Amino acid sequence: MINSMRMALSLRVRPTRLRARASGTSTAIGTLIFCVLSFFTETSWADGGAIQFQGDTGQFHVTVFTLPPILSAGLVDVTVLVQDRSNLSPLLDATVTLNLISQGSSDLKKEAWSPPCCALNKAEALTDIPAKLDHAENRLLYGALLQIPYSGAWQLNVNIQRNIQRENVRTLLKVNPPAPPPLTYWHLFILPPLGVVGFILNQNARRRKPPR
Amino acid sequence: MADPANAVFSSWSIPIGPAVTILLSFIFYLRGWIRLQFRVPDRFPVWRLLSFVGGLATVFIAVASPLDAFAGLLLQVHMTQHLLLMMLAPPLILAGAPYLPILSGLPRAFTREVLGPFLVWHPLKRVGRILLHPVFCWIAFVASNVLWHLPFFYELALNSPSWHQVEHLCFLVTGLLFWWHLVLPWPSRPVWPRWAMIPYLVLADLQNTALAAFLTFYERILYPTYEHAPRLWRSNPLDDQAAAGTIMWVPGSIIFLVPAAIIAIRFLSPRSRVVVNEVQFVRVARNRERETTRFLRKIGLDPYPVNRPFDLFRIPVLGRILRAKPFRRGLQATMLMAAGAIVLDGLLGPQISPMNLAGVLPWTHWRGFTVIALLLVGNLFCMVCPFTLARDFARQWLPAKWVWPRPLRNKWLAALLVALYLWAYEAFSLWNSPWLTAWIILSYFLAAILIDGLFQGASFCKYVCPIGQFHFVQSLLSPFEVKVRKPDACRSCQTFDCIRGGPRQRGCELRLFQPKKKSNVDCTFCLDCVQACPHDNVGLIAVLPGKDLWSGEQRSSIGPFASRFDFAILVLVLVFGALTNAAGMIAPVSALFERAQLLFGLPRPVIVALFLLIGMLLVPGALVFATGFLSRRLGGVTVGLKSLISDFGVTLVPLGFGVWLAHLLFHLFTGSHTPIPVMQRVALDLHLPLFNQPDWTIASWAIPQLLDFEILFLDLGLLVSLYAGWKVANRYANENNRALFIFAPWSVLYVLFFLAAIWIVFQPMDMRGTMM
Repeated sequence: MINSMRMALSLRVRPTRLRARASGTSTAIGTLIFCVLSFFTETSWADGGAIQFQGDTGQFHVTVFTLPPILSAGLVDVTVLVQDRSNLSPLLDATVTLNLISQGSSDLKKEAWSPPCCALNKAEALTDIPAKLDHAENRLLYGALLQIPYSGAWQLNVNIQRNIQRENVRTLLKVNPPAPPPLTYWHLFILPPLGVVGFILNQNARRRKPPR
Repeated sequence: MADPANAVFSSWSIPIGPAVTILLSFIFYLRGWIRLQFRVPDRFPVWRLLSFVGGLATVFIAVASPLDAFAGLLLQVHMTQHLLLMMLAPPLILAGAPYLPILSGLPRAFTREVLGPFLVWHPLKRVGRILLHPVFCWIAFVASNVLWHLPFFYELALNSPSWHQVEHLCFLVTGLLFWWHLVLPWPSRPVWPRWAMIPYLVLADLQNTALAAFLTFYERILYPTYEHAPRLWRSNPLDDQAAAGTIMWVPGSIIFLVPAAIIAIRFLSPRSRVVVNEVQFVRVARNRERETTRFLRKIGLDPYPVNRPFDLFRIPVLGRILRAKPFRRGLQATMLMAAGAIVLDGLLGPQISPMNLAGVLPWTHWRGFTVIALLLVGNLFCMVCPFTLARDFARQWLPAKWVWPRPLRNKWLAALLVALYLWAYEAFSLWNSPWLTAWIILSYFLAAILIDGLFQGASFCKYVCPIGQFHFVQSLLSPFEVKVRKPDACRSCQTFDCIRGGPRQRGCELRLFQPKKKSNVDCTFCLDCVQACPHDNVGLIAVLPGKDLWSGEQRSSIGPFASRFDFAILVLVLVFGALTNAAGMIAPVSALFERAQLLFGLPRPVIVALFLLIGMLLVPGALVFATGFLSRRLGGVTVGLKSLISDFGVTLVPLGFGVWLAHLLFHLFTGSHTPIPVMQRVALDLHLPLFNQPDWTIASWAIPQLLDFEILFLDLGLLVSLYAGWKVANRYANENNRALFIFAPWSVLYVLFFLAAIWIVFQPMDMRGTMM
């Protein structure tokens, strides 16, 4: 008890020094938190994204989203909102499947680059891909992750079945060539230069004497 | 989940980045708060902790709850999310007075070495003062609020997840700046008089009201995304916009005006003077301390104000289990049974690697889990080693009386065996041959039993076992070490039981004298010393990973690294072996092997031997010697080249470990589920009706983000190697300029190694251990 009091008092006599450091401390902690946050910033899938199709078919009102909004060959997140046409309430007991059909020849198209761990895992089947409710963050959306093999025009067919009703909507997707891997992964290569710059600043800060 | 309401409320997702940041902030704050609580109890009562936790929880709710999931469909939901980030979370976080607790809660080495110099750095303090000036804070908050609500920026955030996160970060940071001057987290002091906060708040409210009124009464839809968004339950986008404006207006204004009113009332009230005498102060502090102790016990924490390193053995139940001898023996017995099953299946089962236990468990899973253990704890494989269990059993009949020959008491033999293993692995595709794998395991048992059965101590572990050497070297980066708790207790020790042992417990067979043991090298985590110490003075203690790479200290058994060229060669074989071993599985190198076989007509083992000779010995050897030579010349170092290489060679361990991690975790993740069908097959072979028919097309954990982690390991490896190299260079030269000259050639070597590793991880690879 006496010890903790002494410690408390010893801290108590130095508030000015603490205060003087407070701005630097908060900036440093803020920078640290910002760096951590920026490093962990990730593209979250299944948030909806750009609307590729919206319209009525049979008893359904259908909205198709893709993420990223500007499509490139590679992984694309497709989500579908199925609503009752009459009252626009979301329907969660339908079966939704996706078909992706290439439009035109694949000779001049640029192939998508997959990370090595997925290179042999490519989904050859681009038809009858089930879109599931638990895929997206938003549990009202049916979603699936599609691997678009190469750039060009692709037709996305969305098949919806609910009880005896079976409907289909189509939309054309313009898929750009994939970005080169170093560009895609640039954010992972900035850690070493950032670390080195931080270290140089740290050494610089060590060497400088505080002004009187 | 056919009910939409349920679906809405279950639309939670945990974004990794923010969740990790929130968790880390909480851990560091709590750790620091506990410490400060005993030093300045009146400054850090329990409500500060609760307030900080409440602030973090608010941020989490904003970014992980259905608010985030529906922000793109409904503007009012999006507005609520922003309100939480700007108006609620920042004051709660600041009321926790977070910077002193976080500073005290961060690892001490990090605070001292990394943050410390910045805290007293004048330019940063000047930036801090500008950032925390009330005018800047007010402008930043208002500008952020207005700019992000302009249709161009709002649409940008809605259409790009990355910009959306930037927007959220912007709201949170400017919110923290704005509320700083109102909450004044201790020990900051007011820059302006308190009454000035009234116009500060009222003006901010005016801006907020204007923006909210515009949103509420504007008769067109401001943001096109919401115009086209699907209308859930026939919601009207214009009504939605008006509701969003109202949310911004009413709760927003309340949050601004209530503190303004409180400040005004306090300003107008007569000041109460409270004289606190010493007795009262002591009583208050004592009550606070009691209250905190009670609170900490209630939430399951041990209240102690002393700074002592984290010791795994001190964790209430887990610690006892970990150090119990039967626990270790039980794990060893399990591993022994697994080894038996692998050997039997390898010899008798189908000779298709992904269908056989011997093709899956040792090469894909065991290697993957041991590197994870090395990264998170330490040399756990040696702790549960099945070979030493068999050895201990066989020692009942074998004499173990000879002394290991003096010329072999070094790491040369081990380095040679590691190189041989790496050659055999590639030359005979060991991973693809269950039969050979089984024989290797059997040979291992035989070697361990014979060597340790004939020679004293753990000669096999220390001088022969290639697996042990791998773990010794990589565990230089492990966060835990078997070491003494209180060095003072060892100073008065006369019995040295930790190394000599006692009547009931043997001492360290690897001849590691605990008080002089400075690293994990040569430590098998057998915990004999823990059992032998009569003072209970040996723990499994948290250390700064990698600290031994640059310390240059005399350490028990191994000595200083500079005097152990044999150890440096072992390290270099393992480091460059990591690169060649990973290169062996990529398509360009496989093609090179095939082309070379066709061109020269040589068998594969010879081609692989040539490849390893060039890639693992000649080129790295030449590079390391050239680097050492340049470093010595440029820096004017007087010590011999061998010593310099020995010292700097060890600094390559983080890079090598990064490659091993990337490589072995790649296999673990791509072949994660493969033991399931193999076990189903084994059960069917044994006519055990336990499982269904094997599903050979079973999924795996192979996710695109795996590449991110692989690169992250390499990044961290490069950074730690660079840091270790710099520290070693500083040891050789007191002046920084000379240190730079000594360090520069090594830094080039690190970067070259890193680039080679990066090139490898981007190549198409074989899916070893899977059916693909």
